Amino acid sequence: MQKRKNWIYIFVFFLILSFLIFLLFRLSIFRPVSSFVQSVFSPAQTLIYSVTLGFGLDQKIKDLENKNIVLQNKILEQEKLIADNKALRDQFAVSNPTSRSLIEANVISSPSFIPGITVAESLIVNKGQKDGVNVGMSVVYKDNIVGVVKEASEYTSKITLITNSSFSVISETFETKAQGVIKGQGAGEMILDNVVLSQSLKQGDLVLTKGEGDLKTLVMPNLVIGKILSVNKNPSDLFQVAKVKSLLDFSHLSTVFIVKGF
Amino acid sequence: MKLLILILLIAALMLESSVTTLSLIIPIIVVATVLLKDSVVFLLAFVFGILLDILTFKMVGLSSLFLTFLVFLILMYERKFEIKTPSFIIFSTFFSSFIFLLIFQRGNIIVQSILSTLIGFILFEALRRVSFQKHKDD
Repeated sequence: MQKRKNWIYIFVFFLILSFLIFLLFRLSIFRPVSSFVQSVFSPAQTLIYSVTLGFGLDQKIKDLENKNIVLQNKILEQEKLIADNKALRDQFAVSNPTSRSLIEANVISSPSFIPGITVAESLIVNKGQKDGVNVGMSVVYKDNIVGVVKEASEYTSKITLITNSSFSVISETFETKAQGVIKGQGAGEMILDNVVLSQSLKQGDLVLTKGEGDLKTLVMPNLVIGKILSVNKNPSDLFQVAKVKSLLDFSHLSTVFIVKGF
Repeated sequence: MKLLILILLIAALMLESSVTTLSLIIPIIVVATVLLKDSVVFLLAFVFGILLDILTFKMVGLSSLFLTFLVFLILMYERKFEIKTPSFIIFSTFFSSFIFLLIFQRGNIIVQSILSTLIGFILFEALRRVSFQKHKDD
């Protein structure tokens, strides 16, 4: 009976302590504690993450996937150049290229159900507020959008991937210029929704960000979201929906770039 | 035994915060509570809960609240039933992992809970044998 009583006291002590910590960590004065812990553990996390990156995917496949992304972007750039050239000839106008300032960040953690096989819902990178990272900034890799910064501490940041079920962004298809909203579905999937039936969606067409900026998010335009895999168009529905797949393999990303401004 | 559990907890923390969403800390805490029946498990649950929350950007304090409560429930249960059994480990690990994942995650909850249960069971059998061997040697 005595032992049981002791446990109750110990339990109540830790319960109160946990509750106090829960409340105190809501205050910004405790942020350095979190930052210190994160900075202490981040080298080990990076090591473990990079070791697991080596498993599950052959180097040859990785190289091919990277080449595929580069080629897709080159095609996109070339088509943009053709379109620009045409516009120049037609209107004698030159559009200003957007300037970007990027922060290079290493992925230190990407927890997924089965590492290297299933896709994570978020990433944690080794750059934080001290490096100029703020909540809402978009994260890219080779002109492809990876996600947006959800939380930022002093030394690390959490990125919500575009496939996360809480993610959505206004988008436009490259060829047909159909506008809609990209919505993450979780488990590495996303859809292009809210596309009116009068607009055309084509399988294989690229989906780009339209660009949006408010107090919470800052997504730059013309970033590649992915490729349309299939289109579901039903005449009785108000909108048509397309399944979209990113050109990136999020489970094998080791470096990403955070867009500071555009 | 305590040192071994501490090492396992550190390894689980590193894996859980960097590569997997599987709850690895829960089976270790359950097994530690059952085998040690010591107040030090409360401290381990509290500290590793805080660290897990900080490293995975969860609300700091929630995991430690959950783990502390879990340890207490197991110790309370011990007054009435035998808890040093594989069936209790399976039951407690599955339900605690399930509830934990239900609070903090979305997908594959049942499969992940089953895997955590399996880890808990293997760990329990292994540590029980280690403990038995140690007693035999002594």
